Amino acid sequence: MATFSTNEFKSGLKIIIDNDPCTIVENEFVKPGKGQAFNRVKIRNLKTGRVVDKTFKSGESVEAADVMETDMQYLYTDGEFWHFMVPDTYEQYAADAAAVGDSSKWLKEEDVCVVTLWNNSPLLVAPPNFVELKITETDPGVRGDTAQGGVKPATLETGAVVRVPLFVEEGELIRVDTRSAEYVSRVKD
Amino acid sequence: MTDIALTLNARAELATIIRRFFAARNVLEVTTPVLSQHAVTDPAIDSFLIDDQPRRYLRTSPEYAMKRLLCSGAPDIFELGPVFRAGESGRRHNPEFTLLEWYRHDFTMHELITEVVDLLAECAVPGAAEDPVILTYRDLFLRELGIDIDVVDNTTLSRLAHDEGLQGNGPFERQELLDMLFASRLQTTLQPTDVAVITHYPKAQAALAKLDPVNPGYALRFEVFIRGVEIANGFEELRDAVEQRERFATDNHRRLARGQPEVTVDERFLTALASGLPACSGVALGFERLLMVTAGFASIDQAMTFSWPLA
Repeated sequence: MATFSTNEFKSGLKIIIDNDPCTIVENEFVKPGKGQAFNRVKIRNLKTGRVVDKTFKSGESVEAADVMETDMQYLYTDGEFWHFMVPDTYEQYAADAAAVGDSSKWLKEEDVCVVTLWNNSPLLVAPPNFVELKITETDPGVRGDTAQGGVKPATLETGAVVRVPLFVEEGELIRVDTRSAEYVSRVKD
Repeated sequence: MTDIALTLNARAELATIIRRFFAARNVLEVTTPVLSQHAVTDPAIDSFLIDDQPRRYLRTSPEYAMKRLLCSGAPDIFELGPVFRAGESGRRHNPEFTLLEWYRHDFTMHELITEVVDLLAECAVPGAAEDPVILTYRDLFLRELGIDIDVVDNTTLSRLAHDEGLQGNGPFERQELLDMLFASRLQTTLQPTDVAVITHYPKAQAALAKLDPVNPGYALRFEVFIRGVEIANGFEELRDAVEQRERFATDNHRRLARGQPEVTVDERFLTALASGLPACSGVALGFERLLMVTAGFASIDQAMTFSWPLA
């Protein structure tokens, strides 16, 4: 079992806390002039995304998490699993609904995502920051209303619903920021 | 002005203020050895060993040497010089740092606290011109956690520490649990206070302080915090050589129990103590920590001429 000592702690280090893989967000060495030294760390649980504060007695060892982030191309879903491939090696991985989570609504075939592997199985799937998706359903556009800034809901080919300006039409391709789920622009074919 | 010029000027200015402060009060500047034949017994402090013959250690504080001077008749003294603590590295720690340490004959703990705050005011520390908040260690636990450390059991302390995010299976010593709660919870509550002084640390943390004759479960030891950051640690000094020897032995027992090497006791220091240490109080203040406050440095690296990775 690989371990890290607290004096190797730094942000980005992946460790196991309470059986879950976590990443260190911030590490601070705290020590009273006369007394025990501690490492106070902010850690993000990679399964839940929650950030919590933990304190370790300095010098203790913590189990390392075998966690790796890899760029993978999204292939398809069979309804139960989402299948990804490492472009260089053609290695394929199947991510379950827990790993894909909310990202599923942005996944378009052939897009490159960041897949976090824990013990070589997908733990998290992050979609590209920007995706280009076709509008499959929205109310008809309102001509000449480009400056008013009104918005309407639009359903995209992956099932995601985003708010778009009134002039955007069904069947158009749009660019969306997946981090905020916001419309960015129209994409000319 | 470049960053390094900013650092050099701030260091020089603060050192000048400190020297002027002590000159005006007739406190003599002294220089004691940086390399010593003896390491400190405190299990929480690791010394650097110069592994040459004869073996020497880089001092972690000038305390033993300065007290030997006092035992041999020195007047009020101060030293501003480098000290070294292995493994202490972080935003507020550098393994080599500058310590200001001074001793005052016939001062009580409270008289010395007043002088520390006077010095902070002289250095233009915000809020230091006002009366500081002075609170005992026990009262701070009572106020912030609602527990009386005189009666609380280890199970409760352990639960509180784990609630605060303590990881690891332990076992943790009682004092480690108190340290953890102090460092991660109580110190944070001092952040809104410009200058806070915590007094009367538990006997187990007495170090070289005299026990309080009124309540011998506690020591006449104090710490000064500026906005929650520890700046200084002082004692009304223990003068009993027999009790000091016992404390060194206790330190060594704890070291062995923790798997640390035993430290040979400094017999010259104990002999000096046995010959008579005048009644006095002494305090050590982190020069770079103070500089972080007065110059507004966010990290101790900025307060060092060359920080640890560049030294």
